[in-house]
Amino acid sequence: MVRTLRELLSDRLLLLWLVYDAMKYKTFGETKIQKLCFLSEWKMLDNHEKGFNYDFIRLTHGPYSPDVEEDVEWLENNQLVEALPINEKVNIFRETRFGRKLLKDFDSVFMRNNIFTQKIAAINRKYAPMSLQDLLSEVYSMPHPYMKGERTIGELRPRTPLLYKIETQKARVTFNITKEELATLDIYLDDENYRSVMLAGESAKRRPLLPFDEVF
Amino acid sequence: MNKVEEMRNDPIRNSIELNYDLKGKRRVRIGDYRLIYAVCLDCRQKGYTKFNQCYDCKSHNDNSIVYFDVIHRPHGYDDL
Repeated sequence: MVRTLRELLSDRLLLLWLVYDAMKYKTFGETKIQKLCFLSEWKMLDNHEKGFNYDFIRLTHGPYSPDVEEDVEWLENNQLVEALPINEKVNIFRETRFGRKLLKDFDSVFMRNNIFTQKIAAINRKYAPMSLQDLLSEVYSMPHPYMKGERTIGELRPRTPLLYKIETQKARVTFNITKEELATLDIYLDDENYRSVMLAGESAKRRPLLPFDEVF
Repeated sequence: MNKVEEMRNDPIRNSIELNYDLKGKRRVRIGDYRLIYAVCLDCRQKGYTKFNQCYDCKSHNDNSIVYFDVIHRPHGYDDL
C-alpha cells in the first residue's frame, strides 16, 4: 500500500532511531535492518499500534519490505547513515554527525512516542547482537504473524504477504508527531533542501534582503 | 505566481511553522514546491527575531514577508 507523506516521514524517523539503537550491539547491514524492522512492526501491530507502516513479504532471505530498502537508501543518500562496503555485496552501517544531530533535535518526539521506541529497543536488545545467520534461522522458525500455528515463515512460499500497515482508524495508538514537526522533518531528511534553507537563513543574517520585485 | 500573490494577502493561512534549526520560519505548499519564509509581524510578536536575525530587520515594516528559499518536494500523497 502506498504510504502517505505523514507515514513515510514517520517511518524514516523511526527507522533512523532503530538503526542508531541497533549500532550499540553489533555491526550490521541492510538484511539485518529488514529483520529488526519486521520484528519491531510485528510487536507494534500485536497491540494495534501504528508506528512503522511497512508491508512485508517473505523473500529468499526472509521478511522483506521494498519500502525499508528505499528508506535505508534514502538515509544513506542524505548523510544520515554511512554505508561502509565490507565486500562486493555487503555494506555495514555507521552513524554520521548529522544523523546523530537529527535524533537529538527530535528527542522530544521520541520521548512522547516511547511506546514505540521501547518496543524497538527491546527487539534490538534481543536480536541485534545475533549473527545474521542466527537471526535468519530464528525468524524462519517463527509462525506467520496472522496464521499462527500453521506454517513457519521459512516454510512459506516466496512473496507470501507477512505484515501490512494498519489503518489509522483501526489503530489503538498512532505515532504522535505534529504537522509542524513533520514539515520540519521533511526538510531535515533531505540533505540538499536542509543545506539550501540553512544557507538562505545564513545569507539573510549577513546581507540586506532583496525586494520582492527583484526576486519574482 | 498566483499562489504567491494569494500568500502575500494572507501569509499565515495554510502555512506551517517550522521547528528546531528552522525555528522562526514558515512553510507553505505550492504544488510540488515548498516556499520557506517569515512574516515580519509574526516574527516580532513571537520573539523569533533571535532565530532569524535578518541583517536589515529594522528597515522592514510589520507587513513584510521575507522569502528564504523555494524547495522542490514532489510527493504524490502529501497529507500535511
